[in-house]
Amino acid sequence: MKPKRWGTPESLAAADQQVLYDVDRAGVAYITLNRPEKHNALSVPMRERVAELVAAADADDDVRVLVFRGNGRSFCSGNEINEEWGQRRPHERRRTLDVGYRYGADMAWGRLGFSQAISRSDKVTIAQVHGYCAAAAYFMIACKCDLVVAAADARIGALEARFLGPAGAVASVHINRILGMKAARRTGFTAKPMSGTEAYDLGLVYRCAPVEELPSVTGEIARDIAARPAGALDFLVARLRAAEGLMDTSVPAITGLLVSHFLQAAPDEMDFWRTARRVGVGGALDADKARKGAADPRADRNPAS
Amino acid sequence: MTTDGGAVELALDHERHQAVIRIRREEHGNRLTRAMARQFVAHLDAIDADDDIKVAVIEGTGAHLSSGWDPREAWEQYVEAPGGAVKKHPSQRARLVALSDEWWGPNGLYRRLLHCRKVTIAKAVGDCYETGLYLTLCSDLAVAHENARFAVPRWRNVGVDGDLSLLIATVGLKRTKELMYAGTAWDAGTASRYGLVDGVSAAPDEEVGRLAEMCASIMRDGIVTEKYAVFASLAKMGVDHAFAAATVVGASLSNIHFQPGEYNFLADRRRHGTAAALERSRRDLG
Amino acid sequence: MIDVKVADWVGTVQVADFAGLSRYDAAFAWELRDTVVALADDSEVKVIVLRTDGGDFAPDVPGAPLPSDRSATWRRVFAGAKGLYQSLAFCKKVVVTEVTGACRGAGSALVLCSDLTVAAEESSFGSPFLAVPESNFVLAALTMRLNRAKAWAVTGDVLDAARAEEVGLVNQVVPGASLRAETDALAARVTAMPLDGVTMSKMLLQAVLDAHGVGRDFDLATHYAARRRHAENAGGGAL
Repeated sequence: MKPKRWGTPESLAAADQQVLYDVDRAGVAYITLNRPEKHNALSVPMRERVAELVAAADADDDVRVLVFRGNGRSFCSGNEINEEWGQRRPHERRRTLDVGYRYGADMAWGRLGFSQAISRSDKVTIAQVHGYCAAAAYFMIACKCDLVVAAADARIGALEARFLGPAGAVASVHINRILGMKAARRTGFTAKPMSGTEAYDLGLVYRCAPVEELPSVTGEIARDIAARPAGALDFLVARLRAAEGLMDTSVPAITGLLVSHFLQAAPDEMDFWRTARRVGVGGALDADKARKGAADPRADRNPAS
Repeated sequence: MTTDGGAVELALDHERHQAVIRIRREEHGNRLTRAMARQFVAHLDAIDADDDIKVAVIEGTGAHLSSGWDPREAWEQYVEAPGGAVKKHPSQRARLVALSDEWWGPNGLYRRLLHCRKVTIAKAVGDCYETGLYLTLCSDLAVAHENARFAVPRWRNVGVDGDLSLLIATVGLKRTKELMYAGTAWDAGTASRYGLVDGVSAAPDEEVGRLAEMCASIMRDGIVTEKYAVFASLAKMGVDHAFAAATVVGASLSNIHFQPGEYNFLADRRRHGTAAALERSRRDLG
Repeated sequence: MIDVKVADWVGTVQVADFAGLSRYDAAFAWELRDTVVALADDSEVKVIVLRTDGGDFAPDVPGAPLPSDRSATWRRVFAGAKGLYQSLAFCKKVVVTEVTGACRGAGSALVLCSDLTVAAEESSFGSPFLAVPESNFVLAALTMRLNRAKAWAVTGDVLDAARAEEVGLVNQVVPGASLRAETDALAARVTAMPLDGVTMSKMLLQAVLDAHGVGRDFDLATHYAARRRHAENAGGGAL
């Protein structure tokens, strides 16, 4: 028997062009998200392809460093939230536990998911972040990489918490260890994004650059690391992965996840999916931004500066 | 049990989905008595049970959030615990029970605040010492007034008997040790840079209001789900373990023997009164 | 040559520098370890200060010998529970490191194991994880936050004193001329805590650090050293 490849015929066919892969002569591999019209939102087949490409990079002795980046205006807006990906019945979406487990755990951030393929990579991993780095892109890619290089004005955070509810992700141990307890919870409970500069101050980001210089700055950092003796990198990555295992930082808090598929809006709260059925997902996002107390993802201020 | 008229009040605003827990004992720097801690916990129970409340703001009236616990109860709490008055000195079980029931155990103030099912926001003003620091630390979010100062001066009198896991995970290991051993007080800017508070403001009411409104705009299901995910992570990060360890070490430290020349706070208090002893023991905070 | 003074609750340990630890000088390391353990057992001591004569704290040692995971001496002196680093990290007195100049390799491992660090303005810190497989990464992650510790390890960046303070690796940065006075003042502040308070708080700290994985990371040092030897052999030369 062979496992099913989840996705629609269209999303499966598109995935190869939506996630590009190349390796330069310096030993730096690039996984490039290429779905700019959707801010590089990740479909299920795109996530599967990311995991396969990480495995390919891991198996390639010539690759020393693995860079994640995105084409277009944003690094990545997170997982595609309105997706048919081969559920048994279309109306199910994720609303059975079997389907929820497969979607959330196996395809996202459980031990078998793509985010843990990133966090367990044998290579030094770098996320090159500009524009939006939201939701899954924040906690399943950026926070799973060893280094993040960010545009100073990037928008990093759990923006989806506003309209879908926080998904338990920002409670994860690794995010608390990266940002500190307060900032981790701030991203979940206010849905307020961090700029690249703020994320640098908190310790998530290794270096900030103006967005136009981001590719060259990241490239230089990646090549400098790749130029270190192969044995040194090999040892250091193994050393870090072991310690991360000891600290239990590689596995996220799964507790909230399955429940999060069943969140209900109370009568006085906005029901995102009901609104989306009426005016489309874009219209529902606009309606959300207009709500009282909304954190404007474009705002540039610290939460309490 | 002393209260001196001190009280912890609860105000509910169902329309805005916000609660305020207000410490009111201005004339004593909002130092918390056990009776007040129990009131505080009862308010957290009420907030958890109220489906229309999503956010709880923790604040104090007057100049300080809270400048500590009430030192007059430092010994009394052990004597009054079960098994505390059987012999001249309180039993070890009485000391453990007192520290657990009032502060670190499942129904103690700090663990109960940390496990509130709604979002908690501390407004850190003036002296945030001991109790004030731990209220800030155990809240989800915190905004500091420019004049806020964070310290645990009591640790210099007796040794360290509070949570360290949450503190280390929030501000880092060496900075935690600075607070432990160097008698350091952090000003608001330092606390912000270290990650103990989310920001500093000359008008913290406004900032707290803005954060509270953001949190209150998130659906109830999402908030409570996320809080349970946080609880799972706290357990995984050893915070529950650290609270238990703090209880044991705190009880052990209540048996402390002083070396010749070492400062003995309780003796100072007996001789010169609470105010004078507090002033002396906090004089050289760095 | 290890110079020791005890006065006013402070035990001060002074050496020329700590590069001997990067060279895996077992005699020096064991003498230092014994000194630390003896001071920790001295009821007249609450604070132990590790200080150098004034030059580099721990200069780089190019071509330092590979620590052998098979060596009983290395395990006993450096990596084991009674070895130097764990004697410092789990010391029952407060350990203060005073850093001038270059702090590399084992020097940074010492800084991570110490409780408080005062650094001169011109000092700088290199990651210990490549050269010193028994150094503790969990301590670094708890001290600097996870990603900063990872970046320090994989980039080979040397942190200047100001950056080391920003990320929490050192507590104070002061002009070189006032370094000793500032370190002594900090040590004196620590002595205000009762002796029983110091030792009980270290017991609490030990429990908490162990729960965070610090002890487990130390326990795996033999595996890290073996992995490093494997990488060096496979890479065909020094790392």
